[in-house]
Amino acid sequence: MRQSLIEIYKLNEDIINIIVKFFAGIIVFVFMSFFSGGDLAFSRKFIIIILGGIFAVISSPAVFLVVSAIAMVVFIASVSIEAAMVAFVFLFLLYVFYGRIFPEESLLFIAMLVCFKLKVPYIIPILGGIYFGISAVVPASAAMFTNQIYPVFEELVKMAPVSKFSVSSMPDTLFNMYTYIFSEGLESVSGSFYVSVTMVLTVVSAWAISSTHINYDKEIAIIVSGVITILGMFLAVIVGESGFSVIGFSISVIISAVFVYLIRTFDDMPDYRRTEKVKFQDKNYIYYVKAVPKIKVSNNDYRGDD
Amino acid sequence: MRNYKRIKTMVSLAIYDKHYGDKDRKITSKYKWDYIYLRGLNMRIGVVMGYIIVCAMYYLHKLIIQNADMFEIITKDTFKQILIRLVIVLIIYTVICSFKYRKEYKEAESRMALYEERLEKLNSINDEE
Repeated sequence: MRQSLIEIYKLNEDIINIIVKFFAGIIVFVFMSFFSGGDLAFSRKFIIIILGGIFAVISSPAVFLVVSAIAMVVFIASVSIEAAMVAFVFLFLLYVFYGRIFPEESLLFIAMLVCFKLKVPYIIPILGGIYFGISAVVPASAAMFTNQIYPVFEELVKMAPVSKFSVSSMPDTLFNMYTYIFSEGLESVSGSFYVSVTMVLTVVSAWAISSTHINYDKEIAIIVSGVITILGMFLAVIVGESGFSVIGFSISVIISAVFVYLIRTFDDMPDYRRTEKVKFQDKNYIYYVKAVPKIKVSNNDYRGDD
Repeated sequence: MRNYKRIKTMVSLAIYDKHYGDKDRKITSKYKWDYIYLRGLNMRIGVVMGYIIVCAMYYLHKLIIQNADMFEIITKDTFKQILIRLVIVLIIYTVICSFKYRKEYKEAESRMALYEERLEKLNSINDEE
């Protein structure tokens, strides 16, 4: 089944990519619209479809990041102008300090926020560690932190709903928001430090094990990073007093690990039973090569002179 | 068999053009250090802006939340500290970016070299025919 799905994909790669990107864009922007209270009025649905279309045709991750950030700010502005300004500053800082330099990895930040809504956020740090390496640490931790501060953000929206917006009171409102964020707001999310550190450990363990080139390295990386995530989150709940449901997140980590394994099976699946080790040398070097054949290769692939 | 070789070379050239062609040509149209400098300059401007916002938030926090005296904050030492930290941040970002952009340039260059090599191969196959 896996082989036939891959063959179908290879035959229709371009069309499937555009369709998948379009729906991925729609999902991202629908979740972003939840910042505006989840009330999908017709105009908002229209905007989401347009944005999904833009995402389907643009290939630059940096452009997608900017479009997503603008969409997020616009959706927030529909419920609170001042909260949108705060979100803008936060996103701007994320962009200049990280997103501009690592645009591909920054997509993990958006993906993880979406996965939080789908209750499987731990897919991203494990996948990021395996496929992006150590640079996935920042987006995974930042997304975890952002998810943790979401209640603070909801408070900000309540403090200044768009119905009470006036330009003259804006400086006072922003001042009150600032005071709230740096006093009660940050105190209420002090446990987020521990969960962010847990994400760092998850990514690092997934990256370190998957780069060892031992047999079943990716599979071991998935299991070990899953276990580290569960242990780290337990510590975050006990020491950092994070408000997680212990059973809930354990199940979420296990489901996330299963998803990562499924994604992994659609990657090049190696057949470790037929591993060959060869050694050869030229004038300057001795090469030790470990060749792991893919599990199922159709005979047609080897026809020809290569 | 010769036809097969030609098709294979053309396919690999087309795949390269589709995925990297424009991007690599844009990168390698500049000299290596010009490319790294220009990309780094853009990044540094953004970082300085971000740093100013973070600094403003930090000192506002001191003034509003910690009730610090404004005249104690606005001193020569404070500005010196801000500048030193800015320089450190810029150095860190410059190092990270020069590694990243140098790697980007090198990868583009080697892909272009491979492309040229395949193009020559295609030409020689065409000549043979």
